[in-house]
Amino acid sequence: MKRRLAVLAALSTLVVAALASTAGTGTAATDASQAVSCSKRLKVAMITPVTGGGGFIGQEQVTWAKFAVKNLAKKTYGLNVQLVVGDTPVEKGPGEALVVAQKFIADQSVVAIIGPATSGGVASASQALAAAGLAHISPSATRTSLTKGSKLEATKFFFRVVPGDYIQGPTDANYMVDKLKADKVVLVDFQEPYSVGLADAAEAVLKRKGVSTTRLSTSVNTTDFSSLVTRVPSDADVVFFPTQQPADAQTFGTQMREQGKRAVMFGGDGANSPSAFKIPGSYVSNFAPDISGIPTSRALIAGWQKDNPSLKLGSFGPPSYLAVQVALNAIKRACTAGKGQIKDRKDVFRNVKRIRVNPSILGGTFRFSTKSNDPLNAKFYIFQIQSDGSYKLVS
Amino acid sequence: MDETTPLLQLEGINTYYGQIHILQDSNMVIREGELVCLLGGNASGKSTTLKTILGIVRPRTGTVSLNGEDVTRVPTAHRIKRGMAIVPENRRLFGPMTVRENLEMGAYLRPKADLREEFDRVYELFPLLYERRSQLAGTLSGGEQQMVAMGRALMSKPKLLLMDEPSMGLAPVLVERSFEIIKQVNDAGVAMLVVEQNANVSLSIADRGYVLSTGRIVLEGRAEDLLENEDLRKAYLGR
Amino acid sequence: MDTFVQLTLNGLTLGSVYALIALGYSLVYGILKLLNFAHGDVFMVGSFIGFGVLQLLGGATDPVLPLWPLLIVITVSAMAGCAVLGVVIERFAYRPLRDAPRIAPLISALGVSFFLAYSMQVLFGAEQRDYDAFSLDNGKLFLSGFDIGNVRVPLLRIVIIVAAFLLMIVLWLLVTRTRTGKAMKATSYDREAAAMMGIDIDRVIVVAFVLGSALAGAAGVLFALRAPTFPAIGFLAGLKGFTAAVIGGIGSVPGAMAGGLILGFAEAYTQGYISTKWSDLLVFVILIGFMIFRPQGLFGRPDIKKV
Ligand SMILES: Nc1ncnc2c1ncn2[C@@H]1O[C@H](COP(=O)(O)OP(=O)(O)O)[C@@H](O)[C@H]1O
Ligand SMILES: [Mg+2]
Repeated sequence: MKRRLAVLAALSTLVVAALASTAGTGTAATDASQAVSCSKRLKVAMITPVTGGGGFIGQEQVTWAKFAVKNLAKKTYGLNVQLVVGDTPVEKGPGEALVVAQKFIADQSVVAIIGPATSGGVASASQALAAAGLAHISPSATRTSLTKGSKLEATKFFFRVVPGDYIQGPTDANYMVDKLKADKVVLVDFQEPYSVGLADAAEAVLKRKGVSTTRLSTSVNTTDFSSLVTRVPSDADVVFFPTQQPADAQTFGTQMREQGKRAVMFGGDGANSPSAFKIPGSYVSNFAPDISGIPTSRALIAGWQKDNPSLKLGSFGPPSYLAVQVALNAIKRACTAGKGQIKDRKDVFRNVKRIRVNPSILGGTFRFSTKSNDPLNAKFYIFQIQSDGSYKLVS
Repeated sequence: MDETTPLLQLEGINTYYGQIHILQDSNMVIREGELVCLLGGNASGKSTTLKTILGIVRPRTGTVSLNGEDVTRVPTAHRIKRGMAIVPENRRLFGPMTVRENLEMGAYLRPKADLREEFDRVYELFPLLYERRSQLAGTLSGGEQQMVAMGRALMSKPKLLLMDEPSMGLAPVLVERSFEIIKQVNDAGVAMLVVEQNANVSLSIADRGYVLSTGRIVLEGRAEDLLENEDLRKAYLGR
Repeated sequence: MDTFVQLTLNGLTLGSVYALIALGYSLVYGILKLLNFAHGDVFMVGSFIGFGVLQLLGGATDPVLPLWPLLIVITVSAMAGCAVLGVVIERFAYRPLRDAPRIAPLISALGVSFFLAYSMQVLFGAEQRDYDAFSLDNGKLFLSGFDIGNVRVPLLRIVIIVAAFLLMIVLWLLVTRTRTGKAMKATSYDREAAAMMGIDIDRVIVVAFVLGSALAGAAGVLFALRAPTFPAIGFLAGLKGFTAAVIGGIGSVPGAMAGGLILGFAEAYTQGYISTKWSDLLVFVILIGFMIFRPQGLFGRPDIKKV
């Protein structure tokens, strides 16, 4: 009986796989048949939340992507490129990225995608984008399993110009040990993949280095942390709370002060928001540096600031410039190889991995790792919150 | 025939619960100071008649007039203000509230200033209620509850008191006592419409009576005439 | 010992907020026998009104009013706004269904709940809103106060607990001492008999919604002074308020107060002594446990027979 079931299962898997593969080649074939001329206007499409709760991230990204197209497309690559933006409010869930992606897939003049911005968006849209041969380069999706591990959540058409969380957790932990000389660390997670993953990664490193750790865990809807704070030992040095809501880190920090706990708050990239998390002396990590200190980026910052006079330089935006730069470069190469034509959007994809950018807006030389579609030697950056509320790069 | 405007008049009343036609072409008159009883078997529409008079249910057609004024579309509160009150079937006291609070609810529409006077009047009529004033109504005996229900109704100083089966569930001695009180209140000038299944006792104190059968008034007349009426006797013996 | 004192303080703070929410559930249930599932969302709207008014008044970092008037203004605006919201909900979502089968207003309540949560999300986004009360008077609300042993009882906690208890006492007086309050009690016990006394049932129901919603609005502000709020918070807040009401005996005003405190303590002690993981689950367990084994709650009479 069991055996029969196993056989049946195997058979049905085969059937499904076969169907899937024909479906895949089917779409690819129709896509490939429509070549686009590089002398016509090409489109680069961005998938990111510009409205809703995560809107502040997307809006910052769009300003940098627009600036990159304006600055590079004609002048550097001789391309006529238009940036189009698909809004994926986080409130609509990760599935919205797929809905938006379908629209761009149908538009043959879209030859590369910037995004999706969120890891959930990448996981939901990557299959469809891959089937259409579209490279998608994210400036902000850091979930480890998008590029690494046995259960990949994205396809090989996915690239990111910022490092994954597999670097963030250890970076943060090492900083606590090496720079903050922490002996006792409390880790708090929210029982959802982002914070559990980061807390796990950091805790493993801390334990290996002989730091005593306490793990607390609460439901993601909790916003009053009083009784968790009560559990923080009074001699704890650091509380690591990788929340995606900066206000939570702020609340945890104020409630620690209220209860006289001296531990320092340490948040991940999710807590990175100078308007919401602003307890002096706290730390946050981020996938991008504060580029204001990078000499080779100064002219770019000035150019962007001229286009966006009312905005303040943040750290979410500049990676979008880099992502667009990589995409334009790959499009240019595809056009050259295709003698003024992109016969198949896959031609753009094939070139992405080869791109090098020197100097990168994020500093140093940018290139992809040979092992995965992650940046080579990318780092996470650690900021300390200053008494005036600004974030200062400390590593 | 009396020439003055009646205190209460029902004309061509048809009352429905949803699609069910309950009161059918009811006509009824109560004059000031009268004691009228409304007789009828179970489910004949006696309570519905009282609810129609009070405005708890609205008739589909017909008019209810109070002192010659059409109050058919007027809400219950206004009718009570104009001098109606009810002792509902099964008394319907507010169990978890004290006797005093129950009485206070009876005077819900009276100005606060008059409250003292009303309490005095009711406590005088029912001295026992004064003793029990802080007790929860739900903990009282049946007879005591009947007093609270009457006292509560009298708190609004009604000119017309509607009573729905006041003797129901009471021991025989209490029934008697209850009718004594009804008489006493009536003698003080309050007109009454008393719903009863117990025809003999109620007719013996009433001035006039109506008999309801499946929503229709089938008989009406002076109490002593009704007491003699063969049909009525038959109807009640037949049940 | 310090831990115990601190957890008790945590429980008291949370519990007084839960009690305020529970009161609204109980008032409305008492009279309409309706589980007003939108009540938690009224709490949420209250916390947002408080947030909005605080921003209009310059925000926590640069307020145009001194501390105490500021706190009173935001609390009172939230209470007023929620009272109006409660009246609107009653008028349009519940009154038309007054005589419908009981499932109908229940579904309507769920609909209102979703409507409020999602419209707030569309209008203001899903992200958390922080009053940033720490910035008021340089953290005075959090840092000043008195000590019990080594535990600081901060000013803000005192404000929350005292305000909640004051509101509960006011409600208690309204319900037990005023004629309208007694009419509410009479109506909740026997609606038709109350109508026969000339009590305007519609008005009593509106009053219950006004009082309950205003308390929810106050609870929203008191909660959000310590912890961020967001559009989806109403569901959990409503669940906790409902559980508190069930613990105390739904429909019972003192029961709601006690139930709120008990739930607050249960949550704080569980998080502090057992595990932070399970505290939300605990709420469900308590709720289900009471529904099965003691549906009348701790203080409810097992439904005295109507007399
Ligand atoms: N609220 C109601 N809804 C529907 N039917 C009702 C309602 N109240 C009473 N009835 C029906 O109306 C009829 C008359 O009832 P009622 O006036 O209470 O009779 P009585 O008081 O003479 O016993 C009965 O058949 C009863 O079932
Ligand atoms: Mg009857």
